[in-house]
Amino acid sequence: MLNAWVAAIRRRVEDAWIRPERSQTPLRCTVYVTLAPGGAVLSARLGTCNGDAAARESILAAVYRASPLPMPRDPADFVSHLRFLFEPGA
Amino acid sequence: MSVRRLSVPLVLLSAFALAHASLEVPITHGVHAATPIAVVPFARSVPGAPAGHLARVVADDLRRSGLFRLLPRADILQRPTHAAAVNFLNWQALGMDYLLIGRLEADPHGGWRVLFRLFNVPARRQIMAYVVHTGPGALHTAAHTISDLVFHRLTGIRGAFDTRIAFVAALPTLHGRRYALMVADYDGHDPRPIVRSHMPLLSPAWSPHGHRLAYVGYRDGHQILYVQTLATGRRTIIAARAGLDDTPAFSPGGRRLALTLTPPHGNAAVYLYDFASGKTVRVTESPNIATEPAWFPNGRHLAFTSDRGGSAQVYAKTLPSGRSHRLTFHDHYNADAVIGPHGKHLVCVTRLADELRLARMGLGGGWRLLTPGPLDDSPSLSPNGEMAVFTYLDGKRRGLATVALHGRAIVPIPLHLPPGASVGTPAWGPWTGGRSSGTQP
Repeated sequence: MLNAWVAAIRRRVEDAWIRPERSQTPLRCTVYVTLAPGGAVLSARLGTCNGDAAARESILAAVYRASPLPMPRDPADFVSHLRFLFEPGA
Repeated sequence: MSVRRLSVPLVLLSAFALAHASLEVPITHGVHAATPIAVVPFARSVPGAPAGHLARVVADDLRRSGLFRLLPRADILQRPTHAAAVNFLNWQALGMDYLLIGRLEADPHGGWRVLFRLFNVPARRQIMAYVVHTGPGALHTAAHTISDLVFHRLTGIRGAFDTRIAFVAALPTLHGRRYALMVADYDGHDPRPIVRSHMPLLSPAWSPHGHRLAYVGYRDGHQILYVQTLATGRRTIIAARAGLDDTPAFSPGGRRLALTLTPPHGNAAVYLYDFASGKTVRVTESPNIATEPAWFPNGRHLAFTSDRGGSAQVYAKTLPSGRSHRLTFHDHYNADAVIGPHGKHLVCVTRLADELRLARMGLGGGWRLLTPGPLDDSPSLSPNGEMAVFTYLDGKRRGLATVALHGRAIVPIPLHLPPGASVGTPAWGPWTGGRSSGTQP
């Protein structure tokens, strides 16, 4: 199921995201990610993002560190374009 | 219909399908942990130049901040000196998020040029490149400048590594104890005596731009307050009344000095000295002890230690004549507070089970012990509020260390003093403007 796949990706990326320690105004960042078959991250591009340079860098590092992302159980569920919405505390 | 007209709606349809085919993944948590970074020993173009030392200073700076996890030098097996030589896969395999490489060159106009590059390892891209110019003999300062630039880029917080501390050293000699008021880089590099005395010196305090130091000295057996200009060495006496003057603190605007005055037959109280008028005004009204004043960054409130509640606690009052209210409630002894640069938290000395330790208290709530004791004392905050310098028991004497307010780094400051020497009352100086300059290449 799609939900299970999203949950698995989310766990992988959340484990890989080392957030700068200091608290900052509510962060909301969109990242457009393209996957290769097999889950490797081919590209990650920041969209709308209200974070400072440090936050943006940590988000990009997280997405690439999480690569290769887990694959869905059913290969037909695979989608190559993902849109991450980083919104901690939401 | 022509093929061309058909193709337009087909293109629109594909884009529409693509947008819908983009799967949204919410990310609502991360890990609050130290950021992993590798600082590779810098290359040198001049044989014998201390390039490796530069990287060590930067790594030590980042480590002291508590916000970074440094790859141990023993695990650094490759030493790329150019961007093309960086093998991102290897650094990622070591768990690194960031990589710093650099190169030291002699500046044809005298002094040094230090080039460095910072990479986001998983993203495999360079995110920063700078050239730092510095005078001869100032390489250590250049390293601190690099630390400031990297720290700010990766945390969003202004770095405070190119700063200095003042402290008192007590040195045993054949003729008895001698005292020196010292100024050094915050990490203990290049300590220099500012004042020397046979009598005790105490409680240095920096003026807001770092040009002057207030401190307590003795003259004719009386404890008096001096303010000394660092550039000239000239000093003036602020207060030479009967009684003991202590714990000076410059106001954020530099126009006033808060101090503790203990009259010959009475309890200590907090006073304000105005530089322009030369007048001293009493601030705390209670007949109980009030001491150790500390300014809030807006210059309108003063924190101080008082025992009016039965034991030492930290209070605050609005100047000039607002009522005092109590700030600390944990346990039975809280003293020697310093206020963070945003006025939102304080660091103080707290006593737990007969041990003195540093604690951080959020003024809106929150309490965290910072150091383990048994005799941690005299905190002073870095100008960005991210670290504190304090005294601790080092064997039989007292030494200095820094503690990070976030993270867990507690690191002694090497001072290379003679055996038996002891130190006290450190004060962390303000930002004074870069002593070396950085430009993007």
